[in-house]
Amino acid sequence: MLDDRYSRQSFLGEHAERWIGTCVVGIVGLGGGGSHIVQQLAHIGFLHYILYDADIVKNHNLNRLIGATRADAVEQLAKIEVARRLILGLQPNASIEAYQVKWQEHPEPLRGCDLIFGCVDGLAERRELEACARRYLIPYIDIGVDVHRVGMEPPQMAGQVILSMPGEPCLTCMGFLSETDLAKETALYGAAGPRPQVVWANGVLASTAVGLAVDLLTDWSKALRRSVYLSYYGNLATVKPHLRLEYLESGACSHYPLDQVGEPRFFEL
Amino acid sequence: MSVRIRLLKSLYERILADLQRPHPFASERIGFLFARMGTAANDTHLIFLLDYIPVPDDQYLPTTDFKIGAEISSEAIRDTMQRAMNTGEGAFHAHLHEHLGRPRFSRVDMKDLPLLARSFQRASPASAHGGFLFSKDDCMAAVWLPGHSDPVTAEKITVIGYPLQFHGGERYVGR
Repeated sequence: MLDDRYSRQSFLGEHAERWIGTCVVGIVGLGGGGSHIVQQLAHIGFLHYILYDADIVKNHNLNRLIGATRADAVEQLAKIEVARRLILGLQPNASIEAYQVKWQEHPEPLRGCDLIFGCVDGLAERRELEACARRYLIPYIDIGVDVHRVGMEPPQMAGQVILSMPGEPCLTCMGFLSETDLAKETALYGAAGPRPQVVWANGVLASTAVGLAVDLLTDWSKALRRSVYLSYYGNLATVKPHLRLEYLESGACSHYPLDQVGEPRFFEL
Repeated sequence: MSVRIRLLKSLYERILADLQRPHPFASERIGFLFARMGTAANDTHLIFLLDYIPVPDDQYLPTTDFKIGAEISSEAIRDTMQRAMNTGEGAFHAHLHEHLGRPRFSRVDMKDLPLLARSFQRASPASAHGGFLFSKDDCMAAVWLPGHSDPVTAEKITVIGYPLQFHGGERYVGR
């Protein structure tokens, strides 16, 4: 009955199912973005998952948390359990390692991933996650969306999908992370209030990120050959390559030199 | 216990291009790979290949044994041991069998690799060492972890680039 399960995605190539089934994928953050990603990966045929989220389902998550129900919010189910249920519903034989902690408290499983999705809040968290991915030579796909309001103007919804490939430009090279913005974020720590999030924007970014991951594994488009930085503008429903990409040199990253790859080491001075 | 190896595609392509260059008299080429280590969960050892040094043409020795593709001087091995000792890196012997598909170590490889790995272990005891075998489109590796006298076959060798490639996984057996 299930023999034709992937027949509609056979254009991905003869070996696509094997590469997808072999890939160990890490997803950090299982809220609005991560829950979409988990669901899509399970549909596509991913079988090995490392999941991190310290949170439980709350009532205010139900506007966007894919797979969560009202009962989950009442029971205060962990978000990792919602993700596990989603995956096992589609892939009963999937191997799932799920950790209800911040990834920094237990980073070892993440290092074993072939690909990491970062669906986290804040710039500092992204920088730490990318640094870990670079140190252990793991491609990192970052997604995020935010809504800003300035004066009497309508709210502005903007986001990003970035593929940060070891050996190539990083989030800082691409201008997405800067010391100035990190300092601003630190100064506002605790005062930012609840972040506005909506299911459709998360869905656009998560779907785009999953598409990148599948292309990275199967090479079906033969078009993915360099770092990716896509800008989402929710007010006009557009996703476009960021202008910064035009000025980036492929293969040049001064922030994560290759001599820093591997376990940190101590030298006698 | 498992071993996973990662390297950038640019390095992978450099290795393949070099090992397929014809030599004036040897029937195959040899190079040395240098690596750092990391650890992951579930007793998984990570090895990151970061550099490749080809054996210079003048360090190959003439051989009349048709079973041996190439013989290299002790100088080439000494240089590799010296670098491993100076940097603490792991060292891997690398060569290529000219065919497509999954390569397998020959009997000669299986006889010589443990001796080489033992020498590298003496030079840099805290690192993993071993042998890498490439074909034109695949590869596998036998890895001697620190303090181990028997090799482990790398469970997965990931080439990081566009697209991601997964290799390895078969056992360290001769043909």
